[in-house]
Amino acid sequence: MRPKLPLLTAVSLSRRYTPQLSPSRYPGHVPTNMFQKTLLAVGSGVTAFFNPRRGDIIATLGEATALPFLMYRLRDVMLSDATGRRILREKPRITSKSLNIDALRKYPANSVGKVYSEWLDLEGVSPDTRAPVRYIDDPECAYVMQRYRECHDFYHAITGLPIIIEGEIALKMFEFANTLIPMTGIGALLAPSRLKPKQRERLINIYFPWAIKNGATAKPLINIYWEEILMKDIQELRDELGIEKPPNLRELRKLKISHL
Amino acid sequence: MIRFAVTSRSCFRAAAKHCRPLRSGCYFSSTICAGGKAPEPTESEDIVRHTHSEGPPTPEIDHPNAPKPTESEDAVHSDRNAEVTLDDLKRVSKTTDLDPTKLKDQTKASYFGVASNDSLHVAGGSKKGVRPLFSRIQNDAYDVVIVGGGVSGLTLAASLKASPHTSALKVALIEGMSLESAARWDPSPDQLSNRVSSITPASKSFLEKIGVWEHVYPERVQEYDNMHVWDGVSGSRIQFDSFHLHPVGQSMAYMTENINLQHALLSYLSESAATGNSVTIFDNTKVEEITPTSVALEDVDLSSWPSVRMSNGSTVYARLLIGADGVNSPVRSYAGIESRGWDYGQHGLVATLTMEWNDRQNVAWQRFLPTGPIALLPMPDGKASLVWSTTPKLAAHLKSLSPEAFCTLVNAAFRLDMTDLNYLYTRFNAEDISAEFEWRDGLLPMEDEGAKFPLRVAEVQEGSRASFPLRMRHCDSYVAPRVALVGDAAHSTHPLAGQGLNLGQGDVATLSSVLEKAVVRGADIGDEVVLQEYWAERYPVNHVMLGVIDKLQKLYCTDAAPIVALRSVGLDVVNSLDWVKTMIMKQATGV
Repeated sequence: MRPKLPLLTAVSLSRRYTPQLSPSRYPGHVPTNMFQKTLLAVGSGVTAFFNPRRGDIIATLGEATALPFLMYRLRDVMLSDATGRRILREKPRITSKSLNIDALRKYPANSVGKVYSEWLDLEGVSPDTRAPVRYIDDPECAYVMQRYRECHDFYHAITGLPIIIEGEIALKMFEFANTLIPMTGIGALLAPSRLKPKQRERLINIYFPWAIKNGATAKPLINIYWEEILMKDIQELRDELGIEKPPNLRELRKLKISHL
Repeated sequence: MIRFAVTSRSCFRAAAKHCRPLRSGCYFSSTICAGGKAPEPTESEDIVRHTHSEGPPTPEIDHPNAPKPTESEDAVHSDRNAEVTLDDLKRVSKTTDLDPTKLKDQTKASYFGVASNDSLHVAGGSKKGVRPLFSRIQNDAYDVVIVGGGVSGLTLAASLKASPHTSALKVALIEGMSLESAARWDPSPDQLSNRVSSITPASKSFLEKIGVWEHVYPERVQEYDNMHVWDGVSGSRIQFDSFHLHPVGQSMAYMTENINLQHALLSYLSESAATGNSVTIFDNTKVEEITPTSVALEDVDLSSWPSVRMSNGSTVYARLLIGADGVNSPVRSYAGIESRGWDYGQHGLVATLTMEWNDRQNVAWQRFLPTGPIALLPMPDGKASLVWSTTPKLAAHLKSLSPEAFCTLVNAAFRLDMTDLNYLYTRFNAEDISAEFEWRDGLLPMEDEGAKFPLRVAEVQEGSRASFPLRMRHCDSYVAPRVALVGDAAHSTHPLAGQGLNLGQGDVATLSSVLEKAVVRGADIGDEVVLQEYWAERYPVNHVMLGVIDKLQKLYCTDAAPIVALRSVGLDVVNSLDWVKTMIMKQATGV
């Protein structure tokens, strides 16, 4: 006689409800289904909210919330541009080795490479601190996310926004307007609730308007082959992209200015 | 000039006098005039024209299917003339007031009695040295004058000759271009015309019924029983298989060059001329003017008949004038029928392609791009015909590209995403295009090749790229007193469903059966009441088809996300319902 199983056990044992995961599609890929992605998104979202310094958690949040159609959109932005296509085809990675930071320090003043290396030294960070993408299923979209992540420091350099939380939030808003990666928008909208009212006011009055205007009107930053323009004058690049430098955040903080 | 003239022996008598077909008599000849004018009689040729005792030298006809005038035309005609009976002459004398006995002596010279000037009673002609008008009208009056020697016009001529009831009608066909190349067409294996059509089973069975299909070169017909249609934006697709067809397992359509059909129709007409049912063909002859007739023929009231003045200087009078003369139909203008519709703002780019492998030749492919659908239709021997509907600007660009770059773009258009395709449109360098294509194509799953999109195109036949504007047109009516329109003259449509030629064939099938019925009943075939039945039967059928095609075109010529989402869900639903697919195929194949 067949043992009688409780209904729920029978359901969970049936093949139909066993999650069918697709095989790994690129090195380091962790295939996940919708349920798992939702769980990851909620978990990493809550953790990141209370501990915004956890870069790895923010990265996971970025991947778990990367809606495929928005990632495909960003990929298509790259595919519509000759340089963007070349980046997707060659798939370059930005590391301290590939960039040779020491050489960058000797670049002429105001060149992209020099400003970037100065910014790295000032903030005390390194390009090697970026986590690899794991949860985005499409290999090409995974690379787009990886590229965005690795270029993030260049965005800091070109806008001059520091890695303190206010600067990160302002830059996230700028990135969201420019790339439409959901995580950047979530960060820019939710993170200010943890700020002091004065800081929040500064963001809303000065940096968000700047971020939205510049992010939306600038050329897509994802299509910049940073490795190839390190010698370029940074102001020239800003003009080319249509970005104006925001007010210096550290100075405004010192002067406690929240209105311009 | 090729001419074969065989006289009609059928003597058709209808009950009513007014509907009696014109005496086809001696000038019931199929005349294929190549590079020249139709025979223009001079005054002294009046008799000659009937007997063909003189005439331009007859060249060799090397066409296999054309009846060869091996014996001289004189022989044929003297033979005929010898057979003129007293009965014939009595009938002639009735209309010409000639004494039959007197005529009997002159049998060799004349049939209609134009032997000597003094014996004639001529309306409006001077006595000497002028060709009698009466006989000219008699000769130039036809029961049916078809303007346009395209597939529709020729099919109508053939189907009239195929029916025992309408075969005695005196039929003329006027075509502006030369039909000689079509009549003599000898398919060469490496050259494929870029003007091809898909023949639905319904059209094929009609052509079989009238006996034309057996003249089609079968090695130049490619059938297919499988069709993939998909959305270029969302990738959602519908696949028709032979088991969706009705009856199950037959072919979905037959692809062939238009010239193969024209050739078959002309062969059929030659063959029919050999048995005495000929059609007078004026090719290389343009229609100069169509006017109401002002001259009179004794026992027939010509006043309502359209008279067609041709570029060779002669005029024909039509009991029924058929407009098979395409979109800008002069016949339609004469009849004052309004044609309504709109331009799609797209051009149809056609080309003859060679596939990389001679494989999967029973599949037709069509992908809807936001700029218009692109279709690859199988042709024999690993060739394929391309119909790429796109913006006029892109069509011009695609025509200007090098053959290699063009083939790469065709492959890209069936495989790559819209983003990639739009990027490739902006490239001009063949190597650049090829490198970009190979990179993106390499990312596609290998198993999709030949399953989700066609195999690669390897070559484009030189000089086969051409484009034409696409439009929707439908006439308010297909008929007017003594006028009927068929085919593109009555309606034109987008090529996305491959229905253009088939709608015309449907028109012809209906019109010829309506005319057949009229002849049997003794009605005047040019009477609008008779013709109304044709219009009433065809208009709704064509209107529905034109409407569906138009809506499909509009539905798919956008990449707006909500519409793409809706149409994709719709297509997926249809694709999962076999009975719906069977229903669609039933409509599209017409069986």
